[in-house]
Amino acid sequence: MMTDPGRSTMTTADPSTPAPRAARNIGALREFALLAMIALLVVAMSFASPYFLTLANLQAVVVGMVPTAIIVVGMTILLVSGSFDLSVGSVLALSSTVVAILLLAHVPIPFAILGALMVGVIIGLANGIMVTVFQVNALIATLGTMSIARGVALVFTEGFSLSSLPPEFSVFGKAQILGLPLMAWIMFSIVVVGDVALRRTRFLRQTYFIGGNEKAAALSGIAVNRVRVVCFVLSGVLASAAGVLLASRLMSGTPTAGSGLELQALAAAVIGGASLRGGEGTILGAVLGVIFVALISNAMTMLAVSIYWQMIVTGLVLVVAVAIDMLSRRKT
Amino acid sequence: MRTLVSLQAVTKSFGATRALDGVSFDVAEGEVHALVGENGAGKSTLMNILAGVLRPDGGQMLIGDRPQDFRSPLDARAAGIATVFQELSLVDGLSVEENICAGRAPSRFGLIDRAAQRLAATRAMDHLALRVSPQLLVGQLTASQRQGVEAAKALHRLLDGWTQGTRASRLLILDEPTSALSAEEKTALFTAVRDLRSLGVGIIYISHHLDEVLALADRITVLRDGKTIWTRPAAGLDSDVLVRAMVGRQVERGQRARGTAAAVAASFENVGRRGQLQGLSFALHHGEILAVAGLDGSGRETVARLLAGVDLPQSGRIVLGGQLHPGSLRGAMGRGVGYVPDDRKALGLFLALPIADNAVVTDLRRVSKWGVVRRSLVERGGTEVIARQGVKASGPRQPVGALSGGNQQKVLFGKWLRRKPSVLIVEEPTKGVDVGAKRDIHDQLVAEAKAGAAVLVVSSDLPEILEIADRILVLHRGRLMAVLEGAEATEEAVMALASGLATAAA
Repeated sequence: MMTDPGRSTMTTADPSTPAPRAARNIGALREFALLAMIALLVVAMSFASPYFLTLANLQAVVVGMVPTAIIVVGMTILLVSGSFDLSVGSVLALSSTVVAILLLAHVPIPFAILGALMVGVIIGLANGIMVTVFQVNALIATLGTMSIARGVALVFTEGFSLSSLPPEFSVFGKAQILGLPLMAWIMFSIVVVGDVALRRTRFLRQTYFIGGNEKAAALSGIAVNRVRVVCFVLSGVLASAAGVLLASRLMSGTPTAGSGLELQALAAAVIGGASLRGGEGTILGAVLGVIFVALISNAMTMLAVSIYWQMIVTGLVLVVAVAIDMLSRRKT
Repeated sequence: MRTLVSLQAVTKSFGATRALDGVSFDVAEGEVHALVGENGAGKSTLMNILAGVLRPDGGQMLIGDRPQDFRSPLDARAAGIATVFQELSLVDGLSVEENICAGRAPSRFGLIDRAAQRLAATRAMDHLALRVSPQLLVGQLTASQRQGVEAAKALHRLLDGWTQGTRASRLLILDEPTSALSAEEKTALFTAVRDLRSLGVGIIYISHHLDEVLALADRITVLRDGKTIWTRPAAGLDSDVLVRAMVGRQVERGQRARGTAAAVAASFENVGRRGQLQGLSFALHHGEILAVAGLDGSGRETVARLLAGVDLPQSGRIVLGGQLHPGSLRGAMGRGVGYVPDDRKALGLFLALPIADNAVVTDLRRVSKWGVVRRSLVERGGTEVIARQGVKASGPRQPVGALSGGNQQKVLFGKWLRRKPSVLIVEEPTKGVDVGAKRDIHDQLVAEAKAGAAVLVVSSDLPEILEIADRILVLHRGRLMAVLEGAEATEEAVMALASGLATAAA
């Protein structure tokens, strides 16, 4: 079978190969460990705070993590291919202002959304072309577009939020299905489709080869540059989608939204088993990472811990998770 | 003459391979001592021990008459040994003069004296007839200029030692110093070497180019399979004696019937690439194994890379399957090309991924339906490769990195043979694999050719080439010297042509 560096062994049992199985199970272990930690956190918190397990609080957690969870899908695909994208937070902000500007100019909602998604396409293309054709390091290329996109958003709006959007636009945040807003269901769909696509589709499977050994991938006939560009465009479009959903929830286009989101998504993906070296990671793991970090923040809010402490704890979780991973690898 | 350095019964092993097996070797003041041998004879290991890069497992090294143990290249330098490495040790982002004076820059009050630095660098470059602006960044230089700068760097260290009168470098090691030099630069280098010799410097000269060795050396030592064959004064020796000593064995060529007059699979027409190949023309037929032989720097790998579509020709044209070569590996693969590159870990395999994934990477399309990869097909691909190639593995999901070198190489072959290539390009088919795997791979290449594939093998392993090839292209410095076949293809003949001693008889 096409093995997922992540968790292939969960689906088939092949008793003939115990030793390598254990060695490759680190990714799956990571996902189980994260699930266990999440469960532990939920149980502990349900005793610590009577409000934690209320519908209202869990809804708030889910809605709050929508932008990060959507962005982490693109980030994980890029990490697997051995790259990453720092511009996502700024693309989110720019897309949220673009959709607001278009709506205020009386563009119909579907076209306004399409226009906002084009922001992600264009910046993703720019990132991809810089990294492949011009061989600019991904850190530098996306750092540049991060600054540019944020700057454009601020120029468009002169720094102000754009509100008084048409009321129908609030559908993503307002319309509820089974107790969750539409935007949460959109997030779930993107995550599930993304996870299956990265595991199973021929096109995205190529990212594991590129991230594993770029030269060997090129010498095996994989169109490395084409795949890389598409991955950057995907990351851009997903960030734009997150921006549109955020604008719908807040009913405003916010040029300062999403700052620091790129690093949160990177941290969550790495906590979930991806690596900056490339070639490994799954979207399921990355989203579990997002959930874990979101729950920790929520727990600390419940326990009235200062927001500043939350940043310290998030950083500690990231560093400890990676350190434990490196230690467990050394043994195998 | 005083002996500067002597090695006595030195041994060095890498894993199970004995790179040096009781080698004794010495250099005296004012002497050029050349070291020759085939690839893998132990020349580089010996040089690395003298330069302090490797430490011997056994035996003794004497500097003057005191035993010495180098723990690092710095120790070797402190003992007066300067080395010009084959693998260049230059920093691209710094200027020529900074590179030449690296670590020994003239300074005043703790600051680098730039004027003095330029003077010193220019002096070293003048000795080598090197015409490069000292302010140019090394990254902008051509391969031959870089090699010149590398030599100038070692020369500066020598000259600096002499003018300061303290801790002078008394021994210079040159490892293939001319592989990228122009004729004029070569002459200048030889003059510089002779000048240094007359100053009393001892020089170890390592080269594949026997003509240079015979012109320059006072004494010559031949290494073979990690052993010293003999050390003799160069006067009175000729290339035949050297080649015979280097080769040392009579290799029986496996004679097999070859399908003659078969259809042409690909042809080169006057193909050139600057600094690598000049005006190369040949045809590759279906059903034959055509080998490309040549020394390092002869351009032999370029032939493979051009045919694979990884590099593009700058002049001439390449025809593949009756049409102009598409100019990319993907295009070439569409016309039935398979390409096994020489460095399986860096260029060929995905070590962290399972055998199955490695097996199917070249045709993901064939294991997918509607763009979705079918796990069962991938698994089957892995199982097939394990069975057909005889890979010793626990299963198709074992990561390739956990296999031995020979089994990794078999997986690399399997991934291309799965595609049933009609033109198979193979670089260094058996580098670093054990004897059993080597025979399996040779048998497989012959079987592919018999089944009608056109097989191009590029190898630095001469006995291997003689054993499996139907015809041998011999290259010397980017030019085709001869196409040998049948009885005329002997190890001596190939070596003589490859090292530029003989010109084509045919």
